[in-house]
Amino acid sequence: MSSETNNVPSGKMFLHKCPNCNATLEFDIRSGNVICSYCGSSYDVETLLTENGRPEQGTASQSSQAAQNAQTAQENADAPLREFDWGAYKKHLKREDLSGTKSYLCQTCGAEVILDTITASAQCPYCGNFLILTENVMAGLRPNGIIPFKILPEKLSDSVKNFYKNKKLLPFHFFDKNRMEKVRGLYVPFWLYDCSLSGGITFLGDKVSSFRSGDYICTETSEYKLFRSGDMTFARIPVDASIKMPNDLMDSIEPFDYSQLTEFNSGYLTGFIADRFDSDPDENLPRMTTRVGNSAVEILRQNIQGYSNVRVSENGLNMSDSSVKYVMLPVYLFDCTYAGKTYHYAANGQTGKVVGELPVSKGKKWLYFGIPFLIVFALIFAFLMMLS
Amino acid sequence: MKNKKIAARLVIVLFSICLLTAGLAVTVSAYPEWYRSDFTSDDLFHNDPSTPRLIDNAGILSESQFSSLSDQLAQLKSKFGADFVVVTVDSLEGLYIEDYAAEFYDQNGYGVGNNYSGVIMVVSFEPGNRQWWTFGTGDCEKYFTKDNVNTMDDVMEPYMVDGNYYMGISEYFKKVDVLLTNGKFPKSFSEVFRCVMFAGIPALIAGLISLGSASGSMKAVSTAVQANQYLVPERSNIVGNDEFIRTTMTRTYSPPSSSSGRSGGGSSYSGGHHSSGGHSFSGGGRHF
Repeated sequence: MSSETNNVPSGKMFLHKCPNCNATLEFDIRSGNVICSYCGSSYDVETLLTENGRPEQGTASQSSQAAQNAQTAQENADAPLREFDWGAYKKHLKREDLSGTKSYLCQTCGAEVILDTITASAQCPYCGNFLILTENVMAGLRPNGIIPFKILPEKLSDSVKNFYKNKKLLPFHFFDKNRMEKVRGLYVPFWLYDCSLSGGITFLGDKVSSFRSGDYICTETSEYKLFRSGDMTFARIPVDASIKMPNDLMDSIEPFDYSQLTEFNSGYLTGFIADRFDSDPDENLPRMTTRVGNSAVEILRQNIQGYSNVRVSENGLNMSDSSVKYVMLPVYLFDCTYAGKTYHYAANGQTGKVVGELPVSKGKKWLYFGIPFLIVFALIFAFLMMLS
Repeated sequence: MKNKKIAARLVIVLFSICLLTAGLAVTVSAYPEWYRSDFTSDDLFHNDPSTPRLIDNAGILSESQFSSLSDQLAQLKSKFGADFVVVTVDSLEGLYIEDYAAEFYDQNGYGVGNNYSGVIMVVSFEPGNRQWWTFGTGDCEKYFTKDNVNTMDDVMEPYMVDGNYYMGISEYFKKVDVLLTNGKFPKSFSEVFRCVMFAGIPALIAGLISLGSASGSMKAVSTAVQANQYLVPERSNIVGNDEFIRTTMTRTYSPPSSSSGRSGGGSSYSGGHHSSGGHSFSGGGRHF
């Protein structure tokens, strides 16, 4: 499928064109529709048609047949639209090389565009139109859902201001516009895991009382075996499915509001860049199970009241009913450079939550240490000198 | 046989009693010749200015040392209008050194003005109990605070320990000169250093707390370790069962605290010491 440096344009692509004037459409965050920047027409995303003139929306019955089509889907973009099904995909999984590049012919300007194999949506560097790489979002690779962007890129600066409002050690003018490199809006592939835990944990806990008896203090420690069991269901734990996205940034922009999760349509991608997943659910499973395991222990431990020194003695929790969905979630990425180092930031494209590590200004550090130091020192020193 | 033993015991007991009585008699009868135990404030007087202010009964000063120390004391007297007296003795003759100093001063008519202002130093070379004591009285008393006396004693001590008595006494009175001129001593390096330390440690803590609170949230990114918010409560239930295993008892010895304490130390100080002459002395001294 993929070729490192293939001179022959091989990939399939698609542009959402305005039925009115044939210009390319872009998704408009404000209205939630796709609009034609040329003639000003606005269309509901769900009414968009594929290049074959079919509505894009898939159905549940179709998605169950994804098994058979998962393998062939990439070769045949004309196949019925399927939703992603991990079980089916895995069955027919053939080792794909997703690390290379692939060339496409832009349908608008005819230029040859070289893109990463995993690209799902990109901008033509020559004509600026947004291209949907059909083979990476259609058929068996069609995500199970998408949360569209809600935060306008120009509104992001408010979120950034909120983010650094109380960060006292931040260098002056760090987030000035001229330092902030271009904000990129992109859809990041995520796995949403569901799972249930059942079984129980045996904790040990103490009840301690002490009293005085003559010249002795007596401490009475009663040890208890505390068994907590039950069922815990966790739903839609997000784990990013992209190798190049830093895991900590993607974990930190949580939570997403799933009430706005809608059926996937490539119309949402137009105007943004997007990649398909390149890290599968099995590879990411440990990230989810660690989180769920820790939470389960914590939740059961919270159920214990009135004991001290509570410790886990035996963990008998079992995970079951684990299932996964493939979704696209909106993320803004931007960088800032300070003192020769580049700092990466991510923002939740739905809620505006900004995350990332901030640089520490050495000068401010000294200021925050030095001023209280000097004040306290001067006061106590003067007081002591006066006293003696 | 038996009678002999009893007789021997009797002799020993009698002998002991004699020794004790003799000892007591010696102690009681050994007051200095100038000492009057019935001295009262009515008996206070101003002696002749020519009465010596330096009395070297212990004979520790050479002739030249004697005259230069006498000059030093005389100069102080003219400068401050108070008496400066030094007495060296071989024995305190049964008196405490504080009492010796105060009584010697009063009963020999030292002191200038209505309140008998002055300073007296007694240096005792009593075997096994060598010590000095200095008192300020009248206008001089207020300068003889514990800290000031300590500072002056610190200067004197090394000389006295080395046997350089003249230098010790002379340096002491140089300090007295500084003290009476300025009203206080300039702070020593160690005192200033102590203040720096006492102020520096809380200041350091304050600085670190401030820095800590300011830098607390600079890293707004971390790998998620829990998934509490994704729990579906309506599809979760938890049941519990607590089972007693055992009780262990530990006993720690901890008697109720008592507040008995004893202060010790080489230097001593006495503030507001009253002589039988009825006025107040403050000062201190050390063993050497």
